[in-house]
Amino acid sequence: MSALAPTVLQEPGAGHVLPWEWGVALMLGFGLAWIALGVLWGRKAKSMDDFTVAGRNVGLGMGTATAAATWITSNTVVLAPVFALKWGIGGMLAYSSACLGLLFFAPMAQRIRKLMPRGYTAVQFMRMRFGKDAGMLFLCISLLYGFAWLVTMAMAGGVVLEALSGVPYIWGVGVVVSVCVLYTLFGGMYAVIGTDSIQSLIVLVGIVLVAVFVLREVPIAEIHGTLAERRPALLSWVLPVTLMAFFNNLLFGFGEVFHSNVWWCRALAMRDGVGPKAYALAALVWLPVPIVAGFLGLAAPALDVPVANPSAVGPLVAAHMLGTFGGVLVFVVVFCSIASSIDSLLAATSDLLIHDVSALREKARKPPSEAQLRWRMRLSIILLGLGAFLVSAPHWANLEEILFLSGGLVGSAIPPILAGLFGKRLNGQGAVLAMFFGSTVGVIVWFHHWYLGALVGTAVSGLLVLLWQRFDPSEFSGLPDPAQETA
Amino acid sequence: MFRLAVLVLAVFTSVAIPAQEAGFALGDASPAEGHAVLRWSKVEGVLRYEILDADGARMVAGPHTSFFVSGLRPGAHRFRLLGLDAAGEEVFRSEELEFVVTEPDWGKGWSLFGVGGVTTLLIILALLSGSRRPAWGEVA
Repeated sequence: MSALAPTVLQEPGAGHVLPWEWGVALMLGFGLAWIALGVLWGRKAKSMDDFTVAGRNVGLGMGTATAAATWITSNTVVLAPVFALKWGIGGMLAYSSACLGLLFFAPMAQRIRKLMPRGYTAVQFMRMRFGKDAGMLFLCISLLYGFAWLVTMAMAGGVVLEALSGVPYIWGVGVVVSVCVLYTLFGGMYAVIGTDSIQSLIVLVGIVLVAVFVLREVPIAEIHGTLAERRPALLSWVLPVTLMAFFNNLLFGFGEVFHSNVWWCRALAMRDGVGPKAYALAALVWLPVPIVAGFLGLAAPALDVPVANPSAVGPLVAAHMLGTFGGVLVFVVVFCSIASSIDSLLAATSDLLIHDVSALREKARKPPSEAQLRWRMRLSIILLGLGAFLVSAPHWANLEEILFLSGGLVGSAIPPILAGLFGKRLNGQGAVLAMFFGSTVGVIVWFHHWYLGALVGTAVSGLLVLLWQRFDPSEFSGLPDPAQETA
Repeated sequence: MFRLAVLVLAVFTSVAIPAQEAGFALGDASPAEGHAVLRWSKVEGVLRYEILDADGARMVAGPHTSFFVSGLRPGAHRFRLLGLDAAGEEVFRSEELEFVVTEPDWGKGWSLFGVGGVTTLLIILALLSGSRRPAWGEVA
């Protein structure tokens, strides 16, 4: 299976844009700054609500910034150029369709806030709405997806930092993960949202600067002419593979956002009425990023950039064209975009571990105190970081294939989530059946075509939800108060 | 041992060597999508490698030992690897390596596009119509 083949590595020390020392200095400089900000913002977190959902008082500006920053991730900066390099213009468009995930989460955010004003996690909703079995299966899907995302971002950090400056892969992974673990540990959700706002600003300004400089250096007409002559298929808007990847990527984006606690905990952290506007604005802010990043991948063959590893093509092209300044710019953009997502994921996944895994285990016993919960949260953040580092260390597969392995899983969760939030007719058995068979078929398909798992997983799950509601409908009466469920 | 001898011979004589002896081979090839990785082994005394296409035009140059090629139309594509020393002199030249890109399956592409389109449309309709209805079980 190609997903298990080792990624082609760049030769150590060969052809790097930045000196090794610069890479180390930039990593340490930004790392220490994020940790200091985490400690500073962490002082605001007095209670568990402060630590996990930032006091449920996040406004529109911060809400938009944190949603945009979290969605601008290694997936965007690193994988959008890979899609463009492999599949051309059609691939770039397929990748950009992921913005619809954020856009359509806007109405969901409002409903989540209404149904669970004192809730904490997506799994908590599924458990209360569909019962323990569905909650357990959904928790497994969430944890698998969260961990796959965490690992791909840690890997992306290592790959890109090595390609730009020659910092050994394992160091890049270690520093990126350690920095994020440390500031999330100190500041919780306050630190995550605070650093996200700065990181999103840096990433957006950086991407705009890269685009302006690249277009000044190389005219689009020249790139088009060279591609038409040497790599004509990259100029195709429609290819069979991009036709399949378009809706797969769109549905993967839906599944990622709709099911993940990263987005649910933000919806619960925002003030009433803020969520829909913040998510819609964040989608618009995000949209140009994969297009600019994808353009870099498209430009690589026209500019004779020696791409040894497709995963590093975007940063390599920018740095190749813009020299040392471009190298620094891209280094900072990538470091910020990866950090802004890893911290969110650490916080949201540790939420799942302490609220949902513990809730299932200890329901019959005395509930843990707030101090115990905070201690457990910190421990789970450290363990998640350590786990991500250990799994990323061997550098064992292609980023996009690992990430899209979870496509079938998250896609299968979309129909039950929608049926649960907006309807009364789907019961727990139907939800379990849809998620189980959707995930299974999606993962099997992934082994044959990694870019089809989400599409098939969603379609199978959707069909089962429709059939189950038709032949075994039920009438759900309402959720208990989430605060009583966890307390 | 034989491979080493061939490489040493090639370094000193600058003759064409069989592609497999330079370790010049395809990796992670996707014939239906028109992309592949070209890989080769590091050769002593060579500082820079170049990949040439069938017309002899240089596609890429650098110190790396692999190159990702994409955007190729269906048909046979041939590549040749050149090794250059510090002075830019040609040290060796591999034989041609062939990569055959197959015709893509348009029927499968359009069918799955249709499945994806219908699924997405149903999801959006469920979302929009559901969000207009009043929320059930709202906590007071």
